[in-house]
Amino acid sequence: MTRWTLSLLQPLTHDVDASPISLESFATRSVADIERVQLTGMGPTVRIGDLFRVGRHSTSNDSIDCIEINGDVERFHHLGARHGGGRFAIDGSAGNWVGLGMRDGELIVTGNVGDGAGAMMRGGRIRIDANARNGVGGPCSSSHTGMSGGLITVGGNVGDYASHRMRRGAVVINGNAGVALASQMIAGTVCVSGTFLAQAAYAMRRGTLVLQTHVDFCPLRFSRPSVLESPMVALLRAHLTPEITGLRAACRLLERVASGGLKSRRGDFSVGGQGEILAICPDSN
Amino acid sequence: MSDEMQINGVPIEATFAEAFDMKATRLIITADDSQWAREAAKAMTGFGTSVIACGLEIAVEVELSEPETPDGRPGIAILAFAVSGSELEKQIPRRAGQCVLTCPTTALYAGIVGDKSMHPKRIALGKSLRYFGDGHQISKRLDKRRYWRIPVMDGEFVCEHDVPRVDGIGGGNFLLLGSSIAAVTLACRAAIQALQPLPGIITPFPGGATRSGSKVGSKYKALFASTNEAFCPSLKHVAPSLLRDNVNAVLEVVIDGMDGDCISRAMRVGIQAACRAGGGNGLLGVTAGNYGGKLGRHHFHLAEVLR
Repeated sequence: MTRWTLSLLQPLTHDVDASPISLESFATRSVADIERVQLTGMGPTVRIGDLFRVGRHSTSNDSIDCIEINGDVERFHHLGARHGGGRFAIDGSAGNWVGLGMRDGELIVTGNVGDGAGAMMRGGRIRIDANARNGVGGPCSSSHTGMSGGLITVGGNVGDYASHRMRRGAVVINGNAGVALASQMIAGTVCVSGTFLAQAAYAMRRGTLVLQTHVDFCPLRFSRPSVLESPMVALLRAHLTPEITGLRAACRLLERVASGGLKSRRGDFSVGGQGEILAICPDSN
Repeated sequence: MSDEMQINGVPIEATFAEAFDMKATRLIITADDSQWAREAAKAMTGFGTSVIACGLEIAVEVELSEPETPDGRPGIAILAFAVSGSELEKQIPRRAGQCVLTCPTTALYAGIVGDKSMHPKRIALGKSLRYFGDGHQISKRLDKRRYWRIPVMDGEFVCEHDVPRVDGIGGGNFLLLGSSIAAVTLACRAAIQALQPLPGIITPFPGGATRSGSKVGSKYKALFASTNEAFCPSLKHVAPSLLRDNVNAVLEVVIDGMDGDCISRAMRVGIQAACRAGGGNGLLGVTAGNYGGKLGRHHFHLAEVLR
């Protein structure tokens, strides 16, 4: 299979749309053609060859095609957008809208990412080893729904509006979350092993939010916590194993949740929601 | 007679078992403990011996340990066979609703892996049972599998949305001919015990065997199956018989399987076990039931399956 390597030669001083960097567009091109591909944005148009040393390697070791970007590319947005298969790896930090509308395959970022990571994602898996800013797994511009499939794992913290309007799939966050976590969530699963700020699960309709502890949700919007014994929790844990997520803290949380002492809240009743917040209650340990 | 196949001194007749295409599915029942799982499986598989009057042929395939089930609890795999897809689609939700949904702590999953792209024919499970939740049911989709969570009095009943329906084979069989009921019982029980660990097959009759082997048709117009007088010892000298004078009892082991290989293997294992136990103890022969090869397209020749 083919492995493309893009090693950053110099940092960019303005933002560009990096969506032309994709396995699909590279598949039919030579290295010279790729070096001539132009990236447009908030400054002068630049060519890939001006910014990266491009390499193409045919290898029998890999079973899938892959793109590897080496260097911090925070000014490059839409990396991995609509990625439809294979592996897209960024060794460093990336800009906004990483994995926007991703359909399949794997996207890995070893550093931080900007806003909108995995927005409107439909399938595949995004692994962010450090932090993600606002709108992880959320919608894009005027869209009504956020991600509708796939798995996003974040090794660090996330900003505000994570999983906003999420419709399907799973988001697992090893660290903390900002405000409006899982707000207006339509379905899917969100697991946060750290803390979170105000307005969590606001206007949640369906779906599952797994938290360390129950906080004081408005009683008009969410039910009181009640004991839940269900094989569903084991299914959830089996779906998000350490081998799948690679996140120890989040998996420990799921392990604790599955081992009992779990309480569940339903809501948000203000929108007729039947969402579910699962957490371990201190009095049930 | 000298070139007749024998196992442990038991003659094997040069004939074949005639089997039919059926529609099949596999279900997994889990529960907090194996006792509840068995109770649910017992209820679900009750009155499921023959498609002649039960709608389907259904039985426990195998008990599953915790690591083998979707939710890590003790479980039981069930195989069900029907003559048509529509009959299977009618029977399974009914039985699931009355026998598994009702049984404490149980959950019900598809036992055949594969989404619609792989198995486009589906049988509703939670898809229809969810309405019992009266609006409080919740759907959960993990990977490509969709589950329904229906609130019940011991918590919630978790049930997969649907289960694939696949092609199966029904009516693999062998008949044990003995000098007495005790002799064929001994051989039959040995055969069934040997079949129990085999995957992909069931023996739906009570204890795995039937004494009422049937032929197609009857002198009575309302019946499309009736006793197979050729194997009834009491009719040896009354009607055309296929029994030797010293044969006084016959039991038939009927095998439904997910494919021909499963049935072949089961017939071989079962016949060998029966002969080991029955040879010298009154088992006088092994044969198989067929209709002259005119009805079913799957022919399992004893000489071939035992090769």
